[in-house]
Amino acid sequence: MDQTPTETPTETLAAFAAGHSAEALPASARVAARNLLLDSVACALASDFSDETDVYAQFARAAGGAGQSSIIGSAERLSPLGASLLNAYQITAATVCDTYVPAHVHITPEIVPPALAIAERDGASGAALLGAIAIGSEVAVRVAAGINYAVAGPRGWHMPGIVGPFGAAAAVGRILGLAPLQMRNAFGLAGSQSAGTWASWGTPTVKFHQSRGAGSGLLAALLAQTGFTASADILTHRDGGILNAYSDGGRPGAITQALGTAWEFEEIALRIWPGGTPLQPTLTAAFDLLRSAAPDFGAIARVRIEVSPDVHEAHARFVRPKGTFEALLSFHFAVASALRDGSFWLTSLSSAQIEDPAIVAFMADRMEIVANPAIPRQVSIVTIEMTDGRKLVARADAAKGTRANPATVEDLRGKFHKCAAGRLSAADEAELLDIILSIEAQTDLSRFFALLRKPGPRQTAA
Amino acid sequence: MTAQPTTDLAAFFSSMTHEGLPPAIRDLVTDIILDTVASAIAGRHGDETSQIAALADAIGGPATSTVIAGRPASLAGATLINGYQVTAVTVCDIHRPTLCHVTPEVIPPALAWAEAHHARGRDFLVAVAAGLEAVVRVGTGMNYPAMRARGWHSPGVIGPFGGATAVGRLMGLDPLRFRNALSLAGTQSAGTFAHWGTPTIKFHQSRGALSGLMAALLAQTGFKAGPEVLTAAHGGLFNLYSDGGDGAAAVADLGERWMLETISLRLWPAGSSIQSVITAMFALIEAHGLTPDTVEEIEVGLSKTVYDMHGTLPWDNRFRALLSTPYVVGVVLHDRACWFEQFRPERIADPGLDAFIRGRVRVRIDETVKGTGAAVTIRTRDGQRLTDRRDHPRGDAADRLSRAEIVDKFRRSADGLLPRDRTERAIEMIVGIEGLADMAELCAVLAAPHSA
Repeated sequence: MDQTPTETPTETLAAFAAGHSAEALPASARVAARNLLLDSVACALASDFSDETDVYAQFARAAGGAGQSSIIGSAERLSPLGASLLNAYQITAATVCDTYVPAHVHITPEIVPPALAIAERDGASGAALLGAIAIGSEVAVRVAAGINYAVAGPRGWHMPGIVGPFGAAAAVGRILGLAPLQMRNAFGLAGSQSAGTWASWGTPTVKFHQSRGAGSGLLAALLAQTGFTASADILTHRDGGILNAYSDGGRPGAITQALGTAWEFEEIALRIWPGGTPLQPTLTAAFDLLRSAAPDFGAIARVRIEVSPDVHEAHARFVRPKGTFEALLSFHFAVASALRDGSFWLTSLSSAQIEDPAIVAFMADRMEIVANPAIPRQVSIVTIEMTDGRKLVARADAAKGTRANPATVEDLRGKFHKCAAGRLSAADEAELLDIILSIEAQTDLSRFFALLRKPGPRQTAA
Repeated sequence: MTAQPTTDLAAFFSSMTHEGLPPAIRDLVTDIILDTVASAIAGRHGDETSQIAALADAIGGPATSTVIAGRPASLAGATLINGYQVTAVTVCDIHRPTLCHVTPEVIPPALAWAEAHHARGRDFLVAVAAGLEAVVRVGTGMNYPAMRARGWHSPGVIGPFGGATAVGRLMGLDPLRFRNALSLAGTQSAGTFAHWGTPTIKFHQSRGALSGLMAALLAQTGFKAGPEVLTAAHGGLFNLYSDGGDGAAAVADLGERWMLETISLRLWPAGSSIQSVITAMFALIEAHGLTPDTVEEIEVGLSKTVYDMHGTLPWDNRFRALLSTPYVVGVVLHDRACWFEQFRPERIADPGLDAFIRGRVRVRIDETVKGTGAAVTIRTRDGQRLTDRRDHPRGDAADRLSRAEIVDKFRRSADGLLPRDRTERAIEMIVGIEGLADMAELCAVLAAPHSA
């Protein structure tokens, strides 16, 4: 029997979340956190491309009520709960937000909105907001790594609603200045709300998980602030600890190993293009080819897409997608659109485009997707044969936006512009971008929030 | 074996009517509402109630909804607070087969919605009946031993179905929206026993109430969810939380047999699993006129499950005293009462009482005791051995409380928290709830006097 009480993994993680100084974050982590903020605001501005955003706003209004918290892209202000729910949904609505690939989990929808709501309420600085996003993201991916998605995923768990509340509680808890014990209780309360399964796959309810996760983390941190107590070890408790209830005991070591030294959240991938995460390496290769060789669409004889066998099995069926949902999973559609238009964006997903005879014929006659057992799922090879016999080949070893092939500030500016186009004036867009890119230096975020509220309904899309 | 219990439950609740409820069930649901409101008033005594109220303030929104015997809060906030209050002092209902407090998740969201939309009392009654029935049926579909072995605590897991069903019934959701509401409830199922011994275990009820409300509100907009959240091959709750479960059991005799009849009520604050101990103690005290100075030793036999939860917990604060078998046994013998006075800090700290408990009360595992039963044996100073065995406590579904007993509990609960005339008016309105024109009238009577 232990003579000395040992710290539980939950307590270690809580002490880190409460105590790690934002100033001590390495430069790479600061850039990563800033990029998460930039990208999540961009994604929220694109939420009007999703059919359900309007009804979700009705729901957030009914459930949360009016208040003083800013809604990204709207003059309406809701309560902190309502704003957390709605902003979270907006970030994930158009399926262009971040992914922590190892656990198949979107992180920013859960973390950024409640951090924004409490930062706005409490007049926090940009540096505090950035620290909250960094630490909150780190907590979420650490818990995800601990749960071990290779076990939990096949069982049926969908991670955003399970690990998201931890990250959101950490982010809000940072802004509230929770002590380590309060942070531990916040994690306990987060875990007491961890929920969401794949039973609703194929419906917008899988996105509700992100939104509810944001709200759950908010509740957890606010309740812990009052001194409310919870389990000392929500992560590894024998009877109902998260790693046991949702997995097979998981990998507790992955939660705390090199915590504060190795920044796992830098692994979070951003999406430059719409479409499922597995499509991103292929789109990366296709756009590399477009940039290097600019093939004439009319002169393409054949396109061959090579992917790993598991990706092939999941996606090869969408050779002739029906509707937006399938189009976002269709390699044929994404690559055909990219090659013809030189771009692939949410505007490419109109039913007119999905049913466009030229695209349909191209997909049917000139494209194939093949399984290549020699490549892992993050790799793709695109080969184009031209009618004149030229052969163009591009291989992406990692999708653009991943740690191995990072999105540049210019890439993210380009995405932001497409999301904001038609909703913000050029001057406002430039100012908002400047503020976000220098968020650490912003002592007063009131102008930032004012600009977030400024966009109107989209006039013309980019 | 139905392949689609979620769809079947949704269709049933979507078309459920007042006429479809047998009079005996209406009476029982009326009793349950009365008991739940009593518990929620008593919940003002809860040590953590003010913390939940602070949370409700912090999440924001206009304070338009009644908190029972408290200041108003937002729709979501009042749902959280009332959900907590019902369970706060451990005197609310219990569905023993799934160890689930059902009313905290069902009645607060229904009350908040009914108040905001001026629902009629009889519609509220039907909604509450539907919500209670939903929780018990989903719980019946679960393989509870497997669910418990994985660590799940029922109120947050099956409770959201009750709030979603009650509010969905009040909204009059069509079958498809109703099914989506149930799916959205199930996609919020959460909460484990890792929090046993802390108030977060009760937060599950409060959060479960909010989850159900959110599910109904979102489904009402037409938002879509998966078709079979209970039995979906990948991510269905019966598999995921309970290693299989039984979809047919969840919908067996729907509309003919009312499973809500298996919900038990409690006469005394204290853990639901130790109510048999209290029943036996009162029976022995009354039959033999026992007092502390006539008692040499008290031995309490419990099942292993109940012993593990309630046999060894220290009684160093009110929260744990309410769950402690030795403390409850000792204080009932000394005070011949089991109400809030018995769990005040000064009573818990009383050195004489504490010494008596440590010296004379023994709790052990008794293999012959099943479930939440109890075997209490008292050895008196004059050498008698007195035994009382209980399979069920008073208030159990097998030993129901009379309405008069529940009304008495209501009055004791409201003492000092609501003016006497309001208490009597509230009892009258709830007993006559089927004739009540507007639930907002009842809420006005239940609000704290200074905020009315």
